[in-house]
Amino acid sequence: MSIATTERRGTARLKALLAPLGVAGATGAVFAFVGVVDPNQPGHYPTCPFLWITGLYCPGCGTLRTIHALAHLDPVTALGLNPLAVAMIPLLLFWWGRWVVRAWQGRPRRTTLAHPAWLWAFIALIMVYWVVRNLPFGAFLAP
Amino acid sequence: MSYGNQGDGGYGAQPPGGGYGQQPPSGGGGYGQQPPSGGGYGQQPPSGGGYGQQPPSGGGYGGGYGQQPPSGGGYGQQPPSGGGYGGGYGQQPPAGGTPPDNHLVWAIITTLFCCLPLGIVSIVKSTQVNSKWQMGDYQGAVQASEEAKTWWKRSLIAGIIWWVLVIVGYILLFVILAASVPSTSSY
Repeated sequence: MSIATTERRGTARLKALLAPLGVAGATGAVFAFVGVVDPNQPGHYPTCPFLWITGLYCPGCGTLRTIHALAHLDPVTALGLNPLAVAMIPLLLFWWGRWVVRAWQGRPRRTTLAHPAWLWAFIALIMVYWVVRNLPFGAFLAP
Repeated sequence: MSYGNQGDGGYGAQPPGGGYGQQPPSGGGGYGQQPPSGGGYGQQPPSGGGYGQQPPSGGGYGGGYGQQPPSGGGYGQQPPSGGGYGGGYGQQPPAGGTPPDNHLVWAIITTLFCCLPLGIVSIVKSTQVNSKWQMGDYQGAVQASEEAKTWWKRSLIAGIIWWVLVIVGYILLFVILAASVPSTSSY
């Protein structure tokens, strides 16, 4: 197995890397665009439909401005807008890095699943976040 | 005689005995090619093992679907609530033991980085993938994986539709304004 892996030809390795590199490119394009077209200006982007209909923040509200702030290397502002989205970025980067390594090695992207308790806790976190950022004392979580 | 005509039957509509089209020839009870002594599925003797009516013990069903090789199992199309199927998939993780994708990354992206909060449903489904896989319900894990994918796609599509609607609205507004301004200011 390891011999077969190490003997994989260079073209196969590069082909396997196309998908993660494409994702990285698309993400970079999004950051560049949102960094240039300022979401703090009204009218540049549509409002979140959930906010528009209900008047309440959803867990994703403020992410465009967060991306804008991050594109301008301003993590403090980014944390003030959507801290959960900012907190997710290292996790997403980790998964992306693992994907690159495994694509390079020719292994499946996923071989095991995390313990479900982690995911249930994550859902609970999102639901609490969703509620609290709409409450008066949770204003620090609001965008 | 394999998966195809089974999918038509629809999930959950199958009798608990499911997979009647695929039992090994040794099953004897298969309709369509059973020996005359095997009994047709309307009037078979109790040992005949017709689909839907066979005794819980599996009868003449060729030792039970619990041990049939993975190729015969109709995997991926059986409902998780497959009832009598239970013993079977408990021992056979499909596709060499690799768990299905739980789509958690897309679920997170569509929940926190764009779109409608429909992504939250996708996160719940992702969690069910892990839960069911851990409990040995491989069938259910595969199905939860499909549902997770469906929900983040719905979230993404709803977000795209929203953006298109708003952008079209802006363009219409702009066109109306542009059309109205010259008419009032022309001389």
